[in-house]
Amino acid sequence: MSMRGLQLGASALIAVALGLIVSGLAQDRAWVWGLGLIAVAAAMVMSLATRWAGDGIG
Amino acid sequence: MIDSTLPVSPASVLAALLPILVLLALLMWRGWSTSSAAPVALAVAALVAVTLFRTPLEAIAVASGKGIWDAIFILYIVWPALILYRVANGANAFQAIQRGVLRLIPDRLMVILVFAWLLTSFIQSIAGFGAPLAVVAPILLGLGVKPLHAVLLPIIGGAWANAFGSLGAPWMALESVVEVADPTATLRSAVVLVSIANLSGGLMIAWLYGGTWALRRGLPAILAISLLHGGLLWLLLPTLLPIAMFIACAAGLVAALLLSQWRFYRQEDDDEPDRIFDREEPEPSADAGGAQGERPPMTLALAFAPYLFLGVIAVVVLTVAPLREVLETVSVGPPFPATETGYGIVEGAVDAYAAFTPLTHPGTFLLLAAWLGYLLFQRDGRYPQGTRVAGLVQRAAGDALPVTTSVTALMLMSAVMSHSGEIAVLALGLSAVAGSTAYLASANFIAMLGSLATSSSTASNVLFGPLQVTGAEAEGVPVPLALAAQVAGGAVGNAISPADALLGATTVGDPSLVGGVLRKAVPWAVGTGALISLATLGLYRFAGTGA
Repeated sequence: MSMRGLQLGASALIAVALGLIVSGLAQDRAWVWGLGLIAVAAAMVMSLATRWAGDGIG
Repeated sequence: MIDSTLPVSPASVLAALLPILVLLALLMWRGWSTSSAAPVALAVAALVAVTLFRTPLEAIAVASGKGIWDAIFILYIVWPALILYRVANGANAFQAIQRGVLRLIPDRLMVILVFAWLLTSFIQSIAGFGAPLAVVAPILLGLGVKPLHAVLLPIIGGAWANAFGSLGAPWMALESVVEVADPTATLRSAVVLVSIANLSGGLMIAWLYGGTWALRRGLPAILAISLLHGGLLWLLLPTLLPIAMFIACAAGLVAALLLSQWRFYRQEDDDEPDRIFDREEPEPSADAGGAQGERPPMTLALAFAPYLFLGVIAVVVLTVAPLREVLETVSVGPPFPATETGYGIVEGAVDAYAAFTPLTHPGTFLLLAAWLGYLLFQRDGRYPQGTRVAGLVQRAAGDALPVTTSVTALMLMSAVMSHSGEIAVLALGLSAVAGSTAYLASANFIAMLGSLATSSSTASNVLFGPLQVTGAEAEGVPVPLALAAQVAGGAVGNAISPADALLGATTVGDPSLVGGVLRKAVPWAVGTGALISLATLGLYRFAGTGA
């Protein structure tokens, strides 16, 4: 995946993560906010991966 | 004081420091960008929180939700700011500003001060995030300034404006991670400390221009404009925070134009040194006016129009109370439950965390100004044929995407460190080894370290704001003063950020200049930091909170 693709994917995942975390915590459903944490982790891995996809100044 | 059973020992302090050490090591010694290094540091912060600080996963989830929400506040300034920059740059407005200023100001030292100090600060007050350097360094190069100085001068001259630049984003970020109990006292203490960096930046530019000759010639203007900047910030920050720096910097530019009419700045001097120039005469940039072809060059007023729109919109919305109240009815903030770690670090439940009012947010002002500016330039035929809004936004997105992930990762890291008690342990550890005087004197250097590492005073405030509050409470020194030192140090630290130096060096076409730029910027930053430390202690001794 290109650097731009990784950055876009990470940003989208961060937005998804926020929705999952907020709704999971509000409804007291651990598996929902747990999915949100996994989405955060995936977004961060994608952000890290930009290093090997032609990194720029961030 | 912190009410918990947190163990404060060299080992726990080291563990709490680990995320920051990892971040610094990756950025400074491994040369990683913030968007790559911050996720690793976040992972370390989360791992330390769960394994050593007895933080339940639910607290990590709450911290993550709050961190992302805080990041949205900041990113809603970053993205529109970069769109506005692209709207103006696409119409070659900055070339028009360059031409207009050269016509109005005959004195070469004043021209350098106007661009490297005042225009850099002005752009920083609105956009930031590398835009001032990207605009001013090529302009200075076009004026015949040596490439190293074309990068170095705006880096030093614009550092102070980071404090409340980007329409107040650094301050808003600070307020999103700590509760500023006395904003007015904090802001006014910060104005005093930031003014030192401002004065020192102007004087350093004059010194680099021509040693004592330039200091003598530039001193009246530098003193007058620094006082004007400081005075306006003192008056405006408590009520018009997002645009206070914008107004102060705009006033500084007007003052420079007026001072240039003074006979003192219209006299020739054969002894004028020529240290920073490659060529004798400034070279006005060709009007790359794009589509206009035979069109007359853009006027200075037209070039500044989007920024005037921004000022008018912001002033109207922020000062007309009934209008603001109506607009503030659109407000949204997610609820979060309370959290508690195994060591008793408690964060209370909130119904609407950091409520976001989009219609009074600086990001909306920036978007409106960008839209009006685009319409104006488009109507006047200032864009090259085929320029579309989507293309300008796409370019802005190219600049903003890496910042999006790095800002989010840093906000997440700060929230995790704060909710787990890592920040509390750092502050308690620091206060255990340093007396109150040493703590206050080091506060701005701690902040400097943050912006040096992240090339962002916003990120520095987020990382170290909670530590400064807890440290000040533990030491029994005024929290407003510690936060003011954080704001000032965070601004100065931008001048020695390798990423900023690289950005500037890249814009003048010679990335190898980074080392040379930093070698000259570091002594200035350390000296200015020492002066800020002295002033912080002076405010503590003689004025209590300093305000």
